[in-house]
Amino acid sequence: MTVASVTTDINMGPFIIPSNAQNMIMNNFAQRSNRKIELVIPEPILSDKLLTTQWLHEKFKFTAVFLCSIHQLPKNGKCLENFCKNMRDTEFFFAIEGEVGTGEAFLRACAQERDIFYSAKSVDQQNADWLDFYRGSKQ
Amino acid sequence: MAVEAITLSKELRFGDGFAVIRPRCKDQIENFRDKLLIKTNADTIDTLRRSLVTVSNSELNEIMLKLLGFTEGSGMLAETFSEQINALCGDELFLQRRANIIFNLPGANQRHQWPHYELMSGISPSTYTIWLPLHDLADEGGIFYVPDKESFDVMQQEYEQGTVNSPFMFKSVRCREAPKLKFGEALIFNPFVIHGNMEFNAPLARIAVSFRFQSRKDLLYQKNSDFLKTWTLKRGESDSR
Repeated sequence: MTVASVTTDINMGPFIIPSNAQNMIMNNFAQRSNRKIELVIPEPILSDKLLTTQWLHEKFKFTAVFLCSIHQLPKNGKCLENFCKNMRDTEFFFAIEGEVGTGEAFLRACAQERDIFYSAKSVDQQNADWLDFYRGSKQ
Repeated sequence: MAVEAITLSKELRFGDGFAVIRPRCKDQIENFRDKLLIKTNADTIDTLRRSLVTVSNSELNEIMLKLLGFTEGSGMLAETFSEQINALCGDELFLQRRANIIFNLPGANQRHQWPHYELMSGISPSTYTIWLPLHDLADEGGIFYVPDKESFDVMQQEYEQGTVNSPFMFKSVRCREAPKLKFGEALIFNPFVIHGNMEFNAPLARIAVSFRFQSRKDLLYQKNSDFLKTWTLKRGESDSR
């Protein structure tokens, strides 16, 4: 019966969130979800495999795990599959998206949504201009 | 006057930039309202409107926090207006994750929004917004709109002054009339149209809801999975999400 939160690399998809801010975000969501975080897992930077979480799960049998975002899920197909299988009985809380669920299908659906966002193109922010946005919308 | 789906795109892009729309069937809006009443422990929408007038700011914040869990709301409303949304963006959408439920209290110095256009919050220039009251609007508690070209004039003048959303904008758009919509009617508008609301005097609060969407084919801007979710319009199929 352990509730954990997981901090990861500062870069997660479109977001850049330092680890202390990651903890603030997850603690706030845990509070709103009536959960108390008992263990904070620091995953290494430059990796999205969430292996430390899976190794610790063997010992602690996490009932709930908090992450900041669906963008922290493993991108590699095999790593994602292993993660979904190993963590299938744990309830996941993705704070930024407000998504909560349990099971392989839920985790795969979250990863699939992440992939759609990842493949979407974005406005070039360096050259963004209010008036150009307006004129562009009329073409 | 409600605009047919086929002319909607033209009206939003090259006309006034906003239009009144009506769903083919308003069952989903009624379902949405019923769910809101359950989540706020109110019997009727007028009971809720009356209670909002007297609650403290902290109680109001507590209600707003509770409503963050109402994640199915935007999907229900998108399906309600699926005909119009499909005409603008197709079926594959980025849809606002949580619909904004907006409580406006009557009287001077109460919660009301500074005039703004949606783009300044970082949504994509391809995003549309639908706003609807959850009851008939009998007073001035609605929302006013500045037509597209007039909005752009203000935007340009602000640009020349090196400001965005300044007191100049506020002064430029004051004293507007808010359309008196009926329950079931909605306003749809592009992200460049300046809008806001005014102080109003009434015994009841105004409750409205808004949500934003764009085609998945269009560019994202600063809003990502924090604000948007993926959504495929079912258009009459059952909604299990």
